[in-house]
Amino acid sequence: MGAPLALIAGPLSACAGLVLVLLLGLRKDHPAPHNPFIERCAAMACTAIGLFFLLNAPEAARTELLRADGWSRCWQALFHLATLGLLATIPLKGERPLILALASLAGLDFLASADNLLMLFVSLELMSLPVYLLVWGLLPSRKSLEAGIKYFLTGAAASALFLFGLALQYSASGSFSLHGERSADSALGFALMCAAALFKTGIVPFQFWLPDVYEASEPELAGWMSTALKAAGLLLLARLLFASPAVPAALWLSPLAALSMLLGNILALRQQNLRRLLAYSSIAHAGALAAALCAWTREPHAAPAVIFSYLSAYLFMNFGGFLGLRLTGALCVQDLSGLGRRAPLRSAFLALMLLSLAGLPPTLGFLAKLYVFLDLLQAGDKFLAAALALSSLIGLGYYLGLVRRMYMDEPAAAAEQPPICSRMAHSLIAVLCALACMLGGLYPSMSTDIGSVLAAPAAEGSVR
Amino acid sequence: MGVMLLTWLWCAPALASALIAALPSRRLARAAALMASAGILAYALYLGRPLFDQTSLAILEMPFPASAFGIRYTLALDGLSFSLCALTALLTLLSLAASWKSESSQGFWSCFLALEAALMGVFLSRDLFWFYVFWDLALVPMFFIIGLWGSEGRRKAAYKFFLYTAAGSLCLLLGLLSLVVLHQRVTGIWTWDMAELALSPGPGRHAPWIFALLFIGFGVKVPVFPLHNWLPEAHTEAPAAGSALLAGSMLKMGVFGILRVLLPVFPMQCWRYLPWLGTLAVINILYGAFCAMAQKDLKRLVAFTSVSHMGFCLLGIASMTNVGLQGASLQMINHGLSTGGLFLLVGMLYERTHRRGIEDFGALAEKAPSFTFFFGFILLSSIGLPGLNGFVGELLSLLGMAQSYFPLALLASMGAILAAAYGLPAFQKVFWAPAGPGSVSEKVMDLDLREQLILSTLCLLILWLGLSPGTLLRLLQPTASLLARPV
Repeated sequence: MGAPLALIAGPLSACAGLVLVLLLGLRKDHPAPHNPFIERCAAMACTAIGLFFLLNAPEAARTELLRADGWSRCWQALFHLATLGLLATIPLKGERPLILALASLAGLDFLASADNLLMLFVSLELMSLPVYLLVWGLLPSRKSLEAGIKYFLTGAAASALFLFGLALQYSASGSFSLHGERSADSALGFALMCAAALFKTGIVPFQFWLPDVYEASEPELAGWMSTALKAAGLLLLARLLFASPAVPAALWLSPLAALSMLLGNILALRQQNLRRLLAYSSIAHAGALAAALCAWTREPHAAPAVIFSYLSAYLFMNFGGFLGLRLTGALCVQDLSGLGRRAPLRSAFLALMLLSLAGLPPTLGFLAKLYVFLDLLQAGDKFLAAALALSSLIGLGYYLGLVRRMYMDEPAAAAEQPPICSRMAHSLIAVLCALACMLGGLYPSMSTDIGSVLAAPAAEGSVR
Repeated sequence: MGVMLLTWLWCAPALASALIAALPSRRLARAAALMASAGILAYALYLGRPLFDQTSLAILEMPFPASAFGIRYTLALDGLSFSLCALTALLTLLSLAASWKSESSQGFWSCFLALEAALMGVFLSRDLFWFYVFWDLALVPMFFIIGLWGSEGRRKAAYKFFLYTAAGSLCLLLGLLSLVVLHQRVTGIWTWDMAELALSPGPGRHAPWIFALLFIGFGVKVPVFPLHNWLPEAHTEAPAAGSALLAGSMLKMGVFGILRVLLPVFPMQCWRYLPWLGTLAVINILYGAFCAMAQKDLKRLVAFTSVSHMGFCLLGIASMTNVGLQGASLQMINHGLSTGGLFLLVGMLYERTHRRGIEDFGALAEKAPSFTFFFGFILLSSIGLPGLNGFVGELLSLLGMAQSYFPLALLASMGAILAAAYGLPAFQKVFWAPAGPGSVSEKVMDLDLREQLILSTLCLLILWLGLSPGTLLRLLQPTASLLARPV
């Protein structure tokens, strides 16, 4: 594979899948609402082929707009993995959601390899626009319409902030480069762009849209958004922070991180709707990630691998958590009562995911949290470490409350019990998530192994 | 990699637990669990042979190279670990045998073996990472044991138990991580090995904070006086077998942690805080005893005696003398046997009548003579009658404290008198006093053969340790002399 191909292998596979699905859709004259099995397989195959290339293409390359190195490949692989999960499980009536998801994946891939502010903006838009439609259109109802519009408006505001910051930066330095000269104007520009990244990640004070949107989305979609899109937001934030000027990120980001962790978990305590609950939990996890980012800016040696390990762990446990909601059919907290007796395997799976999210050993979640703790302590950030410990404890309160409800409460009347989903793909992916969460935690070298891949350098000579 | 003899000590119960959960019938699960736990006890005793022969001081096992951050899977079995592992295996076996008639599902038996696996892991690990993993892992099966198979208030008790102890665990985690990170900063070496971290130069001026975090982390489990709140409820609401293991084995995790981590790493701090630690121990002893006196519920009474007796463990440790530390270690085993036995006895009573109140019984001695005998015997051991095991442990702890801080030893010895003051009246009311109007003594059948076998095992051990504690003390002595303050 040549160097230019290495630059676009990820997005190319997503676009190929997109075209393939479109072409397959042409077969029929009047596509009635159906479950397009072949299209789904085609989309998954293309995504998987892309993933395969990413894992097996050690070549590095660099242009003015894009770069392919260990860092970009890792993130792209993460996005492909998450999207594979989404494509396999998303409920379909027609092939449109597949197309939207693949388009968004192309945006995510570009975001991972973008090396230029303009490219960052374009990929951000490509990533976000299809998702507004997905939120609104996958399950058309008043609620999803409201959520879709809300998401669109806040997303548009974030884009506007980013664009404004971009313009300021350009006017100050005359270039779209991430590594150019800095001045006072560009500091403001970077601040605006960082705000946009905070929006996408769902970090306090830009977290307000998140619970509404997750509540109205299908669980699979919410699971994907909370992992892939959050990772993208964090990636954007990391990119900006390391290009940003004098103001040390730890100064403003660490209070926001602490607030996110605490507020997310405290608000999650009182939630009745399970998707809202997981949405607030995801705000708290975003806070933990931001805390790791702070440590990183203070102590560059503390590896970015910590953040990436956390995100990969989070991919399995949070996607698994939302999948667990689908598998058990539970919508609100009461639906979980007595589930342990009614559906033992499914509740065991959901309980495992919840305990992993809570960070109990020996799960993957524990290892991820341990890395962040180590990272913070190494950077000497006792304040954030204490905040993380406190928020973990609060989090344990509701995760454990859910487990208790599943196993120790009397089941609801038979008429009120939600139906159980039993699709093959869901069960398969659930098994994968469960294995990852159980066995991953017993493998403490994870972060150094990831770190060595992440650090693979970009090529020195640039390709035009 | 070799055979990994020690790894099997925790892997075997873990595997058995998974298998039992998958078994199709309850009766099968019950039989399998009993056989598995008997096998594990035999295996643990087999492993301890070289320690008994004194051909080696410890068996070490480090099958894998160090991984990221210097985390390295390391197990070691020395006298202290062995005694605690054997105690855990024995109590698991006896508790499961005592629950033979309960109609519990596969999950019940499976949880007990999972708990056993985690406890074995804690007592064997020499690497702080794995120590913490097992430490926290032990909470999960216990949460289910209390919450699913306990009595009326089980849900709240389980929740409280978990959150309370998890808060302690988080303090512990922060303390351990700070220790490891600071050690790395000063020496440049990543290590989680308990032996290498001993006397670590890392903490420096941060030492008081880390000491406090670790002490809180371990103290919640012991439990040390202001952190004991979770204990009465959890012990009272848990099923009998659960309480026996909780008191018998799980509380030892805290003391074990203090002996294995806190003392070796912070000997200077421990010496400096000696009067304070001793005071906390005395408060534990007296407070537990006074609370026990006021109880109307037999199980709660036993729970508070636990607080009091664990105070003696703490006292021995706080003395920082060879004698005191040996006493503390011995007291751990003694408390496991006698309190475990008392919880099982109360459980047998509850199984027959579904009552636990002292007022609910009277004149039981006529109705159930062998029950009376066993209860009396184990209670006397718990009170500390000379000739039985409790006496030896308490005496050594007191002697140790008397060497280093006499007034505290004097105060603590009050606890031994108070023990008689709360134990004997309760015993008298239940077994000899005429039955009151609400008494359910009529319903009580005497012990059957199975129960007599369980209890006689305990009684024989109690008698053996009381008459010749030397064998066990020889096992415990190396750890104690290592940690003792040079005179």
